[in-house]
Amino acid sequence: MAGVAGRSWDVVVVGAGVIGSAVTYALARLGRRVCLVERGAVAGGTSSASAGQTSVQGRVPGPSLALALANIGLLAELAAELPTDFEYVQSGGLILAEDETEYRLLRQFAAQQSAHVPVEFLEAEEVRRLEPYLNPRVVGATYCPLDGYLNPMALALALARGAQTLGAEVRTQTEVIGVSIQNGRAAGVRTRRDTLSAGIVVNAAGVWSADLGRLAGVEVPVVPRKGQLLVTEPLPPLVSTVLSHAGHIPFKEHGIDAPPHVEGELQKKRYMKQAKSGGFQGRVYIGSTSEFVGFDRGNTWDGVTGLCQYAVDTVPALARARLVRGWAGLRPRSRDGRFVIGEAPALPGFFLATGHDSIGVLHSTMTGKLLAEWIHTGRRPELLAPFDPARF
Amino acid sequence: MTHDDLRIATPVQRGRLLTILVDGREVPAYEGETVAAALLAAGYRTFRLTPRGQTPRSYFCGMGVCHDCLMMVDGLPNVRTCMTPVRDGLRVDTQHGLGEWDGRS
Repeated sequence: MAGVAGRSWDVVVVGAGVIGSAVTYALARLGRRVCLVERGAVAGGTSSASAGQTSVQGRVPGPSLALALANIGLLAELAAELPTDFEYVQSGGLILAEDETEYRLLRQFAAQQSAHVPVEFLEAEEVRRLEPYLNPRVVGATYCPLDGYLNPMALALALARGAQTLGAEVRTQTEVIGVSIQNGRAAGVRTRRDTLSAGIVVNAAGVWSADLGRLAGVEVPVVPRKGQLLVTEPLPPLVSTVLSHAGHIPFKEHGIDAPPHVEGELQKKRYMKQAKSGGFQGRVYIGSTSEFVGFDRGNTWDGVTGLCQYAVDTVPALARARLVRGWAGLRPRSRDGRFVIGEAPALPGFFLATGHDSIGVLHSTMTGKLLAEWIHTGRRPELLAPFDPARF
Repeated sequence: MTHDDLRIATPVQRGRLLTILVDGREVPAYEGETVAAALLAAGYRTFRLTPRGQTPRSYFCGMGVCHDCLMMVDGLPNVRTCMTPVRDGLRVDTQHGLGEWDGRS
């Protein structure tokens, strides 16, 4: 199998974030010979900058929510199956109503969403029992017990290690500089060191998937969307659930009429959570901004102060906490906002697993499982139909 | 000055003698000292216990960088005692793990 030109695999996956690692693990589990190639370190890009939320609440019923719910189930299985822990906590999540309009909208939303997701509406006293440190102006909230978070770096590492134990090869610090094409099909990749032959290439390069696509002559309509985050020093328990706000909910898409100042927009997606366990125990994560500024990963004064203001407005005790770090991650956002998962029409054998935007963790392991099935059987799983790149 | 006071005796000019409360016990301190200095002089070594291993931590860098000397001070967790001047009646408590809030802000 080994030769001067490198080695030959069934599948080469490019990009070792949560998505690429999940695809690799799922393929290895199906017995495929797979090599995961990564320019930097495992979980060194977007997965290293994520707050790791796995909240399903507020999402519009449809294919993305179906994938998310399946992913939640799979995470519990993987927690038992993978060789290392990824600090998955099903903490439950609250979407807070902070005035009478939001109270009315969230009640209506909870009644509707409970048909798809276990969501209930809590009155102010119940919310305060659950989260005593919340700003008293909170008048109610919706609660979903499925919501939670995990450590995305630990997840990608656990998946990559799990794949290795199943015989996959993981090559880090290996940059792909070309995609081989033979007889009109993807035939492998060229790295700075050698050539890896494979019948199938998976582009899981996230915000860099457009660059990798260009090497193959495939247009991948994905651009970076920057999100700034902050984290505090380890603090005594302040917040037990994932907190977000009415602005998180795209009311229009749920068929609910909401005034423009409440209607969900990317810019209003603020949230916070406090890690209950693991290496980041006690730290409060505060996110995030939403900016289209190319590949810039800097923090800005407005970004940081805006997040601080939000945090103190939501949990006033945080005014006494110290921040220890601020950073920004880049999320791969597709042209229509939906995932891009499947075979590129322009190049058979070249599969895309990208466009996961800020919800990659929530969809990671199911993306991997279903794409691996597609590659393994040659048949597209029904759940992936809405994300087929053929739509562009 | 108590018999187990570890301060050098002379020729130091000290501030006013005060009392701080460490885990509820009175400990002498001099104005101008830090909490950490007063604790060390009185023989205290364990300032906090870590969140995961519950292992003891103490004064280490002495300049506000290492965060090992964190204690609960006046009900606030995560206070660097090496950077905090004493005050008469100041309440200082061993921090267990992440500590606790004294109440809602």
